[in-house]
Amino acid sequence: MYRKSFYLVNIFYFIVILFFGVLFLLHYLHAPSKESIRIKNDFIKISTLPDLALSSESSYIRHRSLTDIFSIYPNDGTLREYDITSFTYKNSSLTANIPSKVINEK
Amino acid sequence: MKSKINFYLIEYAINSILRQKSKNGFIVIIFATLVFLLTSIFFITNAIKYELNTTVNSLPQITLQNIKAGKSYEIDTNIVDNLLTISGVVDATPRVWGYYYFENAKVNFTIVGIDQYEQQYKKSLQTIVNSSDMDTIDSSNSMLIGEGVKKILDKNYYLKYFNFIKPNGEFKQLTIAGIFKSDIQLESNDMIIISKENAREVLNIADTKATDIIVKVANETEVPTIKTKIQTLYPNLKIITKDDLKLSYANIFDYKSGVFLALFIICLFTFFMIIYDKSSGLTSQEKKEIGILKALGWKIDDVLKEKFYEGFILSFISYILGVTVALVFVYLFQAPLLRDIFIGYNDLKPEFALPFIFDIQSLFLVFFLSVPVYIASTIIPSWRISTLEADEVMR
Repeated sequence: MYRKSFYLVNIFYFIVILFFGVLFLLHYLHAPSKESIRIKNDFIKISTLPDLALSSESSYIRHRSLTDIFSIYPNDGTLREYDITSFTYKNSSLTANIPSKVINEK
Repeated sequence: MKSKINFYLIEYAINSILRQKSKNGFIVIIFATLVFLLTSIFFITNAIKYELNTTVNSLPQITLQNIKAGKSYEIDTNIVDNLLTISGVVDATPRVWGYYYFENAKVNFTIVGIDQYEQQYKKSLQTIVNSSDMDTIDSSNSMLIGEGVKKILDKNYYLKYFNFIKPNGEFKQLTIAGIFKSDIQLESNDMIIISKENAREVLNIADTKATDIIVKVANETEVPTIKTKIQTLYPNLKIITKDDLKLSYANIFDYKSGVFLALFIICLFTFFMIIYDKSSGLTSQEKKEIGILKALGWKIDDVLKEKFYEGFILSFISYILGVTVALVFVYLFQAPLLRDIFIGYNDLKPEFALPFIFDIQSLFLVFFLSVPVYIASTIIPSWRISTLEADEVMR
């Protein structure tokens, strides 16, 4: 093996070991334990509510899946554009039996 | 046995890469950045999806909401008796929950009322709550809060209790009895759990009403049938099954990933433009090089092998670098900026740690989308040139 090939092989070894090292480190630090999964499920059984504490684009809340983000009038009787990107996306009629709220539809 | 790897060719490929250091360095940077962006977004989506999917089976099988004029209203609790007569239904429980808008901080808290301190809850509560004094949880005017709520209350000097303003303008003081563990921050950050009586008082829900009703079915496969039966009995009800929730999750994440991918596609398009440009022809210097190699006795096979090594070295190093940086960025640094795409703009942003999920499918997807494409774009034009006669190429 020549000098540069030798260095290249070593570089390959190094980055592959680095990659697996990072994987092991993350597995050790951040992999969800059985205990944490059990605690999460205990909590969900008590609260009985779906979703994470993240807001959807509809500014007001989580738990949008209970009302469906695409429902007409989720907040009040006025038909407003709630979602800033709704012009790029329309819900499929196959996924919900509630009509889309997109008003720009021709 | 003779080794199949020809180190002469590898050495030549390395020298060839080093001859054009700046050009190849630039390719490695762009390539690694693309891989980094794409894998980062897959990692974030998968981590949040995993978080939702691990808990989805603990959710109620059927949820009933009262819909009037297209809006959700409180539901009568007396329909519970009728629901229990449907065969297959084991239990139907009215649920009292809602949002409380805290004007000072301009945030919404999620209030959930539970049949407090029933024996079945008490044991679970002990495992999910950090509380120095479990007896305070037993007091009827206490509440359990998420870490996000605690932070907001602390900022507003509510250190031990909170005064809810009831719809009639009166105050309802509840003591903070415990804070949910940080393990469940992603689920509990904006949550306040109080007794059902207190929830009715704060949210102004009468005893005969509830926010919605959850139905428990003995046999999971009967859920669609029971849904139909309930729909026939009460056509005004909106019936949400666990499958609907799963579908909704899939929807929202495909959508969020889609918005990001729409931006990413521009980068990807640029990448393919470069690939196209590369594959459509070689520079005169590169052509001359192949011509000389052929004149020196290199076979087509050797030229292609050398080009393969060249492409592989560049693309594989870029790929591994991109993925490694993405892993560190997403899981160690918690994906600053990119994470905001998914967590929205609520003021109660949870500072959660994304759970580490090693998603080999996404890695393979990105690998096959990038590395073979790049190698092909290196080999194909060289193959075109190397099939010509040496003197013709050099002329």
